[in-house]
Amino acid sequence: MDIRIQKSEFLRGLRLAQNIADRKSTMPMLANVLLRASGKNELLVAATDLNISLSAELGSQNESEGGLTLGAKALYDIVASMPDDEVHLARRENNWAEIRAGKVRYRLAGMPDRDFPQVPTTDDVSFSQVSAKTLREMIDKTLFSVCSDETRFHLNGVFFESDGKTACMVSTDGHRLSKIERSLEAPALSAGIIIPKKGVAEIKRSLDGGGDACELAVQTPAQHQTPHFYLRTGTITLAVKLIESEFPPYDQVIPKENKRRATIDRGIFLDALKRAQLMSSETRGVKLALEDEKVEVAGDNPDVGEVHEELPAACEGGKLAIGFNPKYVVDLLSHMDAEQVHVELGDELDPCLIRPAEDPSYLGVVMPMRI
Amino acid sequence: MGPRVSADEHREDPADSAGAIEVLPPEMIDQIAAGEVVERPASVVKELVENALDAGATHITVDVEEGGKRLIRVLDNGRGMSAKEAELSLRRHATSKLRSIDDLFSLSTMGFRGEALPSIAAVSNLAMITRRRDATAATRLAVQAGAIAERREVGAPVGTQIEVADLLHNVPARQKFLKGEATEASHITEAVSRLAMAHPEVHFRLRHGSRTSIDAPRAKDGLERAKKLLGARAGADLHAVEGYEQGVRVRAYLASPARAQTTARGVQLFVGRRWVRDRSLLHAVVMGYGELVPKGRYPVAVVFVDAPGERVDVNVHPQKLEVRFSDQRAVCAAVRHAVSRAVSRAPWVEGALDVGAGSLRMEPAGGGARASEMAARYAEARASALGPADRPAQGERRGLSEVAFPVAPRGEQVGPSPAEGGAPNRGVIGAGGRGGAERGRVARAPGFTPASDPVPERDHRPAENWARVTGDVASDESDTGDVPAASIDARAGEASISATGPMPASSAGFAFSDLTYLGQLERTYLVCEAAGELVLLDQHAAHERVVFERLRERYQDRKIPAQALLFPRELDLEAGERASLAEHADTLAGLGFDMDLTDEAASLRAYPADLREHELEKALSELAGDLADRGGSRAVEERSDRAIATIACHGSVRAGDQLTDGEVDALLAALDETPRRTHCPHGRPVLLRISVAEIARRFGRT
Repeated sequence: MDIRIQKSEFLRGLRLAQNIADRKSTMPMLANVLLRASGKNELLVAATDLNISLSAELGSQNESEGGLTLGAKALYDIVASMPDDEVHLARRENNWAEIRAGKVRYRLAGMPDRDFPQVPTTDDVSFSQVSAKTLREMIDKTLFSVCSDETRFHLNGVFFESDGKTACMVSTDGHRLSKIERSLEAPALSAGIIIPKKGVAEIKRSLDGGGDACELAVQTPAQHQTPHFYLRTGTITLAVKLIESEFPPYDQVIPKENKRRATIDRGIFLDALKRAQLMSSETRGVKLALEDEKVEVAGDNPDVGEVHEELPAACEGGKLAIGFNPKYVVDLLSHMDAEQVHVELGDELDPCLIRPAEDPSYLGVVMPMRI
Repeated sequence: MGPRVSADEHREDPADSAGAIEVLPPEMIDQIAAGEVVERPASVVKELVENALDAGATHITVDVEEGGKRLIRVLDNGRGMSAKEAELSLRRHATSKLRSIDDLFSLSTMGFRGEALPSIAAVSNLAMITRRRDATAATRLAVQAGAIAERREVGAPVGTQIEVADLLHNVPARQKFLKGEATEASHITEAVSRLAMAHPEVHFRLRHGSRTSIDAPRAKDGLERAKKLLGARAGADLHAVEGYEQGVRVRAYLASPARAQTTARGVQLFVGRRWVRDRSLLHAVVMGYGELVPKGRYPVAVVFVDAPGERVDVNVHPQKLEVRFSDQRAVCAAVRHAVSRAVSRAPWVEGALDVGAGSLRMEPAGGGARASEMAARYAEARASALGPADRPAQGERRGLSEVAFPVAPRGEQVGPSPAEGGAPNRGVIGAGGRGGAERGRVARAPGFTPASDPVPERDHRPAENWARVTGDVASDESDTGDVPAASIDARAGEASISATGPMPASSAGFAFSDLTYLGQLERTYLVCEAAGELVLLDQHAAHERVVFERLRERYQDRKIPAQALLFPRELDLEAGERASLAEHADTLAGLGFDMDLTDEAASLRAYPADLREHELEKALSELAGDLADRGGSRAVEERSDRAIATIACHGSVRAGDQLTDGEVDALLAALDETPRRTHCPHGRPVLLRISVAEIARRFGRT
C-alpha cells in the first residue's frame, strides 16, 4: 500500500473517524482506523466502536493497493500537523506506516487490516434523500432529554418513527419527554426504531460537516440480523446499530386536555427559571404558582437563600401551585424558538405539557416534583 | 447451683433424709449466701474496695496473688473501725449504711446490705486489721471458716486492711468454676478499673504479684481519670460532654468513632458511681454515635448517668450490676441526646497516617464572638498538640485548654451557632429533633454537679463565663497576628511536634470552602491545599454526609422532594422485600417514595429526588432489608436514620465518578454547612490531613 492524498481530503474522513474509534475498548483494534486503498484513486477510511461505524470513501492517488490500520488519534494529529497539502502514506514491513509530507517523515506502528472488524455494508439498503437541516433540527430538539442511565437502555436513544411523509422523534428519561414532528421523506417504517444517544450525536456531527442534502436508510430487524440506521453525506456513510427494545408508550403520558393553561413569554420565563435555579438544585425544585394574570416563580434553599419573581402570563383554568426540577423546564424552553409558550397543567402531581404557541408539532412533557 | 451441690455433700445420710424438710445449719446458709456475692475473686475485690470507698478512703491499694485465688489484700486509709465494730462487721446484715428501708432509695454509699464481709469470711480465711483515727492501736481479727479464730491488738496505720486468703477453699464445687489465673486477674483489673473510673478523687493502685497493673493517682476530674485508665491510645482523643434532660444528668467521655471496637466492652456505663450492665443504655450510647460507628461495632465511651434516687432502683441485683429506672425511656433519651450532640460537633479527626493529632477546627467563619472562640480553640489545639509527653510541663496551659474546650459549654453555646440553630428554617439535626430553645435550656442547666463528680467546679461554670474566659484567651492570641498551626506526629513511639508556618488568624477555623482544590486522585479522592497542609477528601464519604444531613433535616420537616415519573417503573424486588416495604409504607412515603406494592409486583410512581435513579432498585432492596431487620422494636428514629443513610449512600457521587470543579466547589461549600462532616454516615472518615511539616520531614527538609 502506497498512496498520496490531499491533506484536507484525508482529514475530512479522519476527523469523524477518530471520534468514533474507541480508545477505551478492551479491543485495541477499535482505537484504530482502517485504511484500504483500492484501484487507482480510492481510499476507504473506516472506524467503528462496534455500535457506530463510519466508512468514508476518499479520493487518492494509489501507487499500490493494500490496507493497514493505524491509531486513529495519532494519525489524525499527525496529518493535521503536516506542513504540506499532500500527504504520502506507505505501508512498510511489520505493519509500520511511513507518513511523509515535504521533509517531514513519521513512522507509525500499525496493525494488519485483516483483523479489523467488518463494517456494515450498504449494498442492499435503499437510501432516501432528506433535508439535512430538518433532520438536524429534529435531533437538536430531542437529544437533550435522552436518558443517560445506562441500565435503562430502552430510554438511551431517540425514538424515530416515519410514515414516509412525516417523521417523528421522541426522547425521554422517565422524568420529562420531548417530541417533534416534521415533514421528512424518510423511508416509511412499520414500527418505530430507537437510535442510541451516541449514534444520534455522531449523526448530528456528520450533518454539521455536509451540505443540506443527506440520505438516510433504515434496516429494520425484519430485513436484517442487526438493524441499523444509515446516514450518508456525500461519500461518508455512518451506520448506527439500533437499540432493540420497546420504547415506552409515550403517547399515553402526553396530556391531551389539561384543564389549566398559562401562556408566557418564553424568554422571560426562561430567564426567571435560571434566576430561580440559583436558589435551587436538581434535588430541590422551583415552585410555580399560577394566578389569573401572572405566574410566580419561587425557589428557596435553606443553605443559600430564596428568590421570588412574578411574570406576566395569561392563565386559564384556575390557580395552581406546582414544583419542578428547574433543569427540565429550562432545557425544554432553551430548545424552543417561539416567542410565546403554552404551559398546560392538570393538578400538582399531573404531567405538565409545554409547547411553543406557534408550533403544535413540538412539545415537551415534564413530571412535577412534590416539594 | 454451687451452694446446693455443696449442701448435698454435707448431708449425713441422704437416703434417710431424702424429701424431709430441715433447717440448714448457719454455716451452710452463709456459704449459700456467699454464692450470690462471691462469684469469683473479682467480686471479692469489688466488695472490699466498695467498703473502702464507703469508709472515705483516699488511697486504696489492692494486692492480688494468683489471680486472687491465693490472696487478695485491700488496704485503705479510710476511717477504720473500732474493735466492736470490726466484730460486728462480720455478722450478716450488719451495716452502717442503712437504717430504714426508705433509705434504700436514697443511697449514696456503694454497699448497703451488710452481707459482703460475712459472705466472704464464710468461704475464705479472712484477716482484718483496722484502726480508727482516735484509737491508739489497731484491731486484728482472723476468721477461719466463718468463725473468729484470733482477736488481738496490733500496731497499724489508720484505715483498714483486709486479707482474703484461699478463697472458696471450703467450697470445692465453686472453686472448680474458677478460671485460670490470668482470666481471674483480668476480671480483677476490670473491676478495679471501673471503680477507679467512678472515683477519680481516690488514688487507686492494683498489683498482681509484683506487677503494677493500675496506678491512678488522684485526678482532678473524671476526664483526667478516664484518660489515665483508657491509656494513651483511646484516652488521647477523649471528649467530655454533659447534658441534663428531664431530671437526668449525663456526663460522658467519648472517644473518636475511629476507636470503635467489635465488642461492647469499650462502653462503660455508670449509674451514680456504680458500673452497670444495661442493654438499653448501651444502645442509647451507640445510637448517640449514630452512623459514625459502623453497624456491628461499638464506640469507646465512658458514660455516667445521674438520676434522682427515687427514679433508680439499684437493689435489683446482688452485685448491683443492674439497675432499674422508673422511666427507662427518658434516661435513654437523655443519654442518646447528650452523646449525639457531642458527636455532631465531630471533635475528632481520623488520626490515620501521620496526620496531626491536632485535629480539625471547623467552625464556619462567623461573627466576632465566634472569632474569639476559634482563637481559644486554637490555643487548645496547641496545648493538646504538646502531647502526653509534655503534660507535666503544661501547667497553666493545660488549665486553659480544659477551660476552653470541654464540649458541653461549646456544643451547648448559648447563642445560636451558625452550623445549627442560626440558619433560618433549618431543623435541628440532633437526634430527637429538639428545638433550639430546649437545647438552650439544657445547656444552661445550672450547677450540674453530679454526686460522682468530685472536682466539678470549674467544669460547670455557666456558658456565659466560658465566653468570657475564652474571650480573654482570644485577645492574647490574636494580638500576635498569626496563629501557628501545630500538629503532632502521632505515630506510635515517636511523638514529635511540628509547627507549620504562620497562618492568618482569620483562618484559624477550618472551613472546607477555604480549601484550594488541586485535583482528583483516582477519581475517588479530592486533593486540596490548605494553609500549611495537604487535605485529602473521600468524595463519596463527603457527599454522602452532605446528602444524609440534608435528607434528615427535610425528613423531619416532612419535606423530602420527590420526583414523579412519567412511566410507573416496575421494580425487580423479591417477595420478602416487597412485603417489608409494604409494611413500612408510611416511612417510605415520608421519604418521598410513592409506590404500588402488590403480592406480585412493585411499581414506582415517585422517588426522593436525592436518590440517583439508576440506584433505585438497589436502594429499595437495601431499604427493605433495613426496615425488616429492625422490625417494630427499634426506635422509629433509628429506622428512618438507617433508611436515610441508605438513600444518601445511593444519592451520592461514587468513587470513580469524575467531578467538575464546580461540583467540587459546591461540595466543599455544602460540607461547611453540614454537621458531623468529618465522617460519612457509615463512620468512615471524610478527610485526611497531612501537614506540610510532615511532608517536609519525609523529604528530609527538617
